[in-house]
Amino acid sequence: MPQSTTSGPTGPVAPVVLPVLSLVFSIAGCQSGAPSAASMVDQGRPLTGASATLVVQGLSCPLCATNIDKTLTRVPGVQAAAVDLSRGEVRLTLAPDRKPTRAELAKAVRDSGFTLSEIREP
Amino acid sequence: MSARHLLASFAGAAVFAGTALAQEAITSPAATQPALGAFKLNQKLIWERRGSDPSPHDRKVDRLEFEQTLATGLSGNVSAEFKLPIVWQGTRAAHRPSDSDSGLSDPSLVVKWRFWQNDSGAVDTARLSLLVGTDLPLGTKAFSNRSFDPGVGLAFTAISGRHGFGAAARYTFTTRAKSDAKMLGETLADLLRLDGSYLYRLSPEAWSADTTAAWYLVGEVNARIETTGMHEVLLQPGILYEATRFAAELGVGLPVLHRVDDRPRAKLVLTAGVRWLF
Repeated sequence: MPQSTTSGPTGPVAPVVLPVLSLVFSIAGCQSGAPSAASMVDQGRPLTGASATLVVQGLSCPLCATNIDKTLTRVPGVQAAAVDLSRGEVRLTLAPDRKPTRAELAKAVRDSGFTLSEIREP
Repeated sequence: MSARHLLASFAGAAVFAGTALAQEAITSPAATQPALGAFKLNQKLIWERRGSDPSPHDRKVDRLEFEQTLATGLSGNVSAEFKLPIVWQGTRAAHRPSDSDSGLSDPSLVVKWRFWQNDSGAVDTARLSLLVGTDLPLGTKAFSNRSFDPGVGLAFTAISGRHGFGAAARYTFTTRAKSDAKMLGETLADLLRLDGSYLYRLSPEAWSADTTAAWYLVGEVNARIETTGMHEVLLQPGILYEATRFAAELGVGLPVLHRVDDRPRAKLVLTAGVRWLF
């Protein structure tokens, strides 16, 4: 049986308490702020490798994750996208002649309704 | 609208549809939506039996509704949803001959704005959406109140591991009564709809890179309350199956609480549906 990396509940009360607490903390303004100037410059830089891995949160279920699969393959330079729900990862195969920028990938994840936490290059 | 047209409509959707969108309860609205530029089609067949009419008419109603809802993402957190209900309804009364009608019930247009979201894990998420919309007076005479009925609501969805939670409240400002009201929401009274849902992922126990399908047990409570005080509360157990190219749902609505003094009361509601994303 593959091991799940999701942060599942630890008791009968946890499934109810966790979403409520996350709602309260987020409304209270506990979410991260704007990106720095250095990271904004980095956002416009095209990726360089033949593949990349996006670490994404909030994928919900295999078919909800179809949203991100379809949106990412519309980004110029992305040839294929494979979602691994157990790790919250989307593995991208990139075209040899055109590479997407980090900003383009971040926008595609946002437009799909999910949260991008990291882009990994091999 | 004949049964042949209904089947053709189902088959037509199956041909052009690609994949599905799920992890939503059967009747309760969810704070989920298609991505920007994507479309979601939800097709439901709903059969409802009403009886025990406390009014002198002593009516018994059988209603079959084929509901098609097309939603599209307008941005990452805004979507629009158009619902088209096609209805057949048969009525038997104590002192009147039986009659039946079929046609289009009033369609509705709803804009959903997901104004809050907290993704806390690979699949874990909590979302809150505002719903604003209106019924459109485009239905056939037997099923339309010939008036715009605006509505507003909130929908909350949370996924935590194998558990999914949903809660929604919607308020419809009814601007005109239907000529022969048989259901809640058909008189001039405004209608408050309160929905709660719980989904438990039966299988798989844990996601893997090779997961291609999932089964969910669904439990819903659906309350309809008119501003006159008339109300009905239904408990709806159900099951939801997700495959890689479609999702299918089946639910049974059982009345657990009601106070309806002038119309037939809900006895049983059966819902079968499919969802597609393309």
